[in-house]
Amino acid sequence: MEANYIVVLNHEEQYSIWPAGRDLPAGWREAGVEGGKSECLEHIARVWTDLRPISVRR
Amino acid sequence: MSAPNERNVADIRRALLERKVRQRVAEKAEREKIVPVPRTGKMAIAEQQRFLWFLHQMVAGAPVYNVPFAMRLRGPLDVARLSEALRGIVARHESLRTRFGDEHGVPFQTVDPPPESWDLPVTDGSEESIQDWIDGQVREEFDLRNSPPYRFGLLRLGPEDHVLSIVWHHIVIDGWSSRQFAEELTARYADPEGADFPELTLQPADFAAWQRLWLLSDEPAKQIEYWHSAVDGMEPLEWRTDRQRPSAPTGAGRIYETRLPDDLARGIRDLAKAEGVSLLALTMAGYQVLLNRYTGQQDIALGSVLSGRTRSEIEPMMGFFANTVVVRGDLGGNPVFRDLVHAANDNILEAMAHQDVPFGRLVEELKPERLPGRNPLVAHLFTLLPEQMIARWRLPGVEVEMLTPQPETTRFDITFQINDLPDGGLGVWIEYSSELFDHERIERLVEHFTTVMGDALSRPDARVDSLDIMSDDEYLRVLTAWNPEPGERDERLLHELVAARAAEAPDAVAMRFAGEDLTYAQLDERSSRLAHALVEEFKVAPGRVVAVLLERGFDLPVAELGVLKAGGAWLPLDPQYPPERLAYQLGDADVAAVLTTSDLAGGVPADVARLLLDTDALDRWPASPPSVQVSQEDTAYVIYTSGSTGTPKGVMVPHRAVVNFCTTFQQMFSVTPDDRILQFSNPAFDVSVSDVFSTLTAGGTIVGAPRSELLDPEKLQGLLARERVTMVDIPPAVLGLLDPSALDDLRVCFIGMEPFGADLVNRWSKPGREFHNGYGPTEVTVTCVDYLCPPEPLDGPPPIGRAMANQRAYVLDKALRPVPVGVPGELYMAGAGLAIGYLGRPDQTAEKFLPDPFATTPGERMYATGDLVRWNSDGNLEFLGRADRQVKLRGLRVELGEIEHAIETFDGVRQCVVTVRDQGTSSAWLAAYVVGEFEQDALREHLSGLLPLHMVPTDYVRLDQLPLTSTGKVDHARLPDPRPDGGAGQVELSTETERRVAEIWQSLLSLDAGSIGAQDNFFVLGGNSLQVTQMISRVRDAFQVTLDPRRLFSYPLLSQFAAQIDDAQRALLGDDEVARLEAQIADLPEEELDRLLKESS
Repeated sequence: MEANYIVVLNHEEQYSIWPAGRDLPAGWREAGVEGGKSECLEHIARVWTDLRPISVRR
Repeated sequence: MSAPNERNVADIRRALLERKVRQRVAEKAEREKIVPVPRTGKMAIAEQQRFLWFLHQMVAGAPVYNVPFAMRLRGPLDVARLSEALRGIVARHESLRTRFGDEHGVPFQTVDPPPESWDLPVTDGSEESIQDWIDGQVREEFDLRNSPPYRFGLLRLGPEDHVLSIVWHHIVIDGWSSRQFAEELTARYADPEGADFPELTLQPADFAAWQRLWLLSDEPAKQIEYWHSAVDGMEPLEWRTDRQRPSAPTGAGRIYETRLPDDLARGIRDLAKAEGVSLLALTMAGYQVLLNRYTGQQDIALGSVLSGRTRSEIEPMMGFFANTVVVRGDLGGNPVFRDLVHAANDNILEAMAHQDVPFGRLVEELKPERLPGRNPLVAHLFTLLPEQMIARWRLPGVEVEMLTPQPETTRFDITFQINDLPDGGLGVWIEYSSELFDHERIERLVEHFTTVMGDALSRPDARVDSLDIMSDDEYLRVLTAWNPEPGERDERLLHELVAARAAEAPDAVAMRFAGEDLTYAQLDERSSRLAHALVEEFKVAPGRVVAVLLERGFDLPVAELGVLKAGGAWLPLDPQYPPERLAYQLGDADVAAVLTTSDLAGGVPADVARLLLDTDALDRWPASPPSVQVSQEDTAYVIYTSGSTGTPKGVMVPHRAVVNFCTTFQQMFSVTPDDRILQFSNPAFDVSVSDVFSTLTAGGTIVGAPRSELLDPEKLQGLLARERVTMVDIPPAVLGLLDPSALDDLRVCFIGMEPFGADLVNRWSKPGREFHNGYGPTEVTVTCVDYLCPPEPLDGPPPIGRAMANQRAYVLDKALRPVPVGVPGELYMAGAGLAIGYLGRPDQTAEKFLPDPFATTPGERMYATGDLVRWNSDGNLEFLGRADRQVKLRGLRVELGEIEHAIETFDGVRQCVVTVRDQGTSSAWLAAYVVGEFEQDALREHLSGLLPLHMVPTDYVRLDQLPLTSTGKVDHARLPDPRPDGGAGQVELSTETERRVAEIWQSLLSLDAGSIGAQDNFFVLGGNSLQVTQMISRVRDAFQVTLDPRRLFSYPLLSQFAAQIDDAQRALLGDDEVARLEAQIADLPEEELDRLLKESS
């Protein structure tokens, strides 16, 4: 059974994954996607097109 | 009147039936009763004893199974009366008059007649001699074959002050019996005439005879059936020890005794009562949670000792009946603590119902993987000593104070025993292997147990996953106290720091190369011209990558600095890369241009723009830098690393991270403009970033040289001396080839990248020269963890230390929780050193850069290094290997890196890699590929002294160099098959001794005749520790020599072992005799030799 994760992002719009059901660390919010690890990572590969922190994107 | 009659008939029938049943049951019980058997010279011993007897042989001489009691007796003591009381006990209990012999490896017992008279040995002593004397009493070996299995003695300190020592061998007595012994001693001493002890009609020898028959009945088969299913699929507990397990353990141990806090003890008793479970079940459940956290395993199998007194006839007997059982806890599925307790209770009850099968028999039946130096099935015990079994030593008129003898031995890795104390408290008594564990580790074990029990009592309905094992203090220590306080960070850009140095001292030398100088002014001017070219001609801007494909020389820092001034990120490429790899990286990074020279440009794909630095292309651009907007979060460089799987990925390191690294470096080493720092590292690796920019940002001088000069130890030595180099960051293997004596200017050795031993440090460290062990993945910018070796010599490999400035190191388990000190976990790094991520790979970035739950600033990330480390008790990190290099070998966890490390400590070995062959099968084996000059047998022997036997590779393949992938990692697919001809070529048996040993091994291991060769390994053939003893016994019969069983572990190959026998036989005759025989043979004519040989065969 693959453990469940959620897709999360911080104020710099840097994406990551976090175990579902665990308290989310401060400064991170849910992106609204939950699933297996690979499912979450595939989602991130689609939506996170610029890896730079938002503060330096021009 | 028929009704009453009928009723009578029914009653009579019923009564008859009842009587029949009663008779049958009685007959059956009569048949199954333990009955006295005739005393003969050689009687059977109980299975428990047989097992212990084997173990006793294995530990040759160590007093591992001696059970001691010692007490101070103050007051008038009647020594004669005490002697007589002890003699009375020995006379009444045969077990204390039993000797053990063996025939063909099968032990038997002989009971001696009761002693007519006996005097307690009395020695005079003083207060200071007490501990030595009681320790001496317990540490002396018992000769079970020729002497009684007990030793009583009295130390006289004064007329009314004595110490009594009572020691016996565990083979004749157990915990239950010691309570009886103490009670009988009290009664006999108190009233020598009146003490009325009925003569015992049954003794342990009668039980042994009965047990033999019982073992042939149906009942044991049923119990064994139960155990088969109970241990099915059981994982051995793999608790990482503080020190490597020796291949031939001495059984050295320590005892640690303490008490649980009284309120916790009360809480435990209350909850056990409320839940209707045993104290053992409740405390064991807490211990299971603890071990689950320590090991990451969900299947926690522990041994536990039960009294074995399952028949009333055995109760009055003094003897060894206690038995070890296995109790498993299943923490899979994260159960509620209360449920775990009830499951433990059920399992313990089941174990009790099936405890009659002796543990040794169980081991023989279950045939678990046997490892020399390790207890079979369970090496870790959790047990409860019930109040009824705690011996009470009392002598009327004398005040008794218990003393603690230190046998300095242990039977298991760890025995964690809860003592159910009469005063309502709970004691903790731990016997542990001091070869494996440090004392602090055991103290922490009790601390963690106390914490987890406390938390579980306060919320028994919590899931076990959420229970705390660490105290708040320990959390603070590992998360905060052992990480540096956040400090000020320099907020400038990397090239701004260099520009400031150039402005301060324009004529200072920035770099030396091949006897020439490049000044800061020249560097600044040329890199500015390059920056203009990049901005104007190649549209470089922040976020764009520019490749640098150059040999070592002045162009390298110029190019890197020029890219930064243009706002871009440089990507260093190694001119030695194959063209495909170059093309891949250039395409993957979507480079704006390649900076290179005419001779190297041929390797660049035609469609990629290039700028040749060996032309006058830059001369037309201005000498002052272009104006571009760059942020500290913009990428400064991209360096490709290869993951364990898949294609290389480009790590994007921002200015913030590299500036933090360079400023930290300057502070750590107090770098000044007078420093001359070697540029050794391949420019395509990030250590070169340190060589170049730590120097330039501090105003120092880079000392460079062509690759060929750096890789030649003699030339490198000359360069370091000539250029008076003050700091080096080079691989340990290279440093090892240099001579420290002639390098007086060298004040810093910053060594890392791979683990190294104490020798290197001790050879190079000296007053005025710092030796650092640095650690860091590219993703955390060159080096993020550092250890400054102390001035005094090291006796083991140095740890990697602590996080450097503005960084944080966390050691976490799989659920991202901090692990306690000493427990292995994965290293996570957070703070100013973190890269932005992997270029063009958001998914892999998200997988390795996770939310940091421990950060004080919200929204920070932490990087999962994939490296296994642990905190030592001083708060330094120890590197243990890659988290993914752990393999299973016949169910046992094996760290391949550990084996490689051990091989690399052998003289002449330069490099090696170890792989598992036939992995996942029961015949899995290890192959070592070794680069260097070495003697295979000597290496094997060296390893068997360092590693447990199952970790010593079976096959060794010498290679000139390891096959590498294009990224520089070992290419496992191209390692040759160590056994190209399909199986191990069987080596012919060449001597008569070898042939006879082969016969013994064949019959013992049930192998076909002719299937064993001279190079076969006893353990690889399937031999286990019990069979070692049998083998030694058969060798004694065949060759009349007695070998220490442990010798087989050092010489496991048939040829080696046969040579040991030959040596032992010669030693028996003496040199003179052997020389005389040799002389006789030397004189014989050839025909005579032939004739004699034929005769003897």
